[in-house]
Amino acid sequence: MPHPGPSDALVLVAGVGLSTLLLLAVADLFLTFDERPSVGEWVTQWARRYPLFALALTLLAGALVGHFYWATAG
Amino acid sequence: MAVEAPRRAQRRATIAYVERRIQDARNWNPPPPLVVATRYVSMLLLLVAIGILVWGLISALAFTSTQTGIPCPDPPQRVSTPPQLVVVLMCVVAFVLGHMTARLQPIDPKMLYVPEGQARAKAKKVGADAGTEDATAVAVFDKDPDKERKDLYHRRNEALIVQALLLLFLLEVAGLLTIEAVTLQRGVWPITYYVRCAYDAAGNQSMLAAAAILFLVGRWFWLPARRQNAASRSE
Repeated sequence: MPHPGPSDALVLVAGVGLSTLLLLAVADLFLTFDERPSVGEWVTQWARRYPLFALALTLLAGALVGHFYWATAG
Repeated sequence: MAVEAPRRAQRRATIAYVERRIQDARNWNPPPPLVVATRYVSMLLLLVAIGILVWGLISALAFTSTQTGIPCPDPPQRVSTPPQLVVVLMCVVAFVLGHMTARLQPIDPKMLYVPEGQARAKAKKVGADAGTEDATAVAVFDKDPDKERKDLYHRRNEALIVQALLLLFLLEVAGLLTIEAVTLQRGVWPITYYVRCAYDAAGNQSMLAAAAILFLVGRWFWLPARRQNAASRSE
């Protein structure tokens, strides 16, 4: 049976993960306020330039989100 | 057989009708007041999402720094309040909301095209393709050589930032996968257990945080269609 890990590691993982999201969200807010191309537009342009790479990345991100968040009650 | 043919024709007509409606919806141009309102709604919802994420981060950090135990049973339960179906529905709504706020915002015509070389070649080949996004983008580039150089310089800088962020994202994904694999192998709680624990201990807050993340994902990763007459920013 797995046991909880050290809290320092948890703080590091949660801090890094959420901080990146926060950084991107703040950047998106600034770009939207300034009427400049938003994060989504950049991602869209990049995805159109490299569609296969974008597809692979999307599958990976989807698998990760599903793995972490989808806890089917057994 | 004689009865099947009209049915097939009717089915084809129905499919064609649905396709036309979808195409109309994709090419729908929102009225200018709605575009302006969407920008303000986007900023408001982004602020809310940022607030929820900061709240979640502070709560997690405060708990781990003041408490030694875990806030849930070991292993964490997978049934809590609000029910999972409500959480999933909330996340789907947030995802669609994120996409709609991004979709209805004005789009920079320069962001709708692909590499300069390809766009130029296409525009030259098509010739009188005026009115399409690619031709618009090339027209912007062909207007003034100085402006073209400046634009290119700015776009390269901005593209560098985006690529750096993508690299950061990939490194984090690789890190998360490594952590998940190592923790499972060593008999320590994987990240999945912590997510379940958060849901078990603070269901509503976890649901809001998940919805905020899905709102951002919907804003960034659900590609808007290439509308024929997309609302565009003025130069």
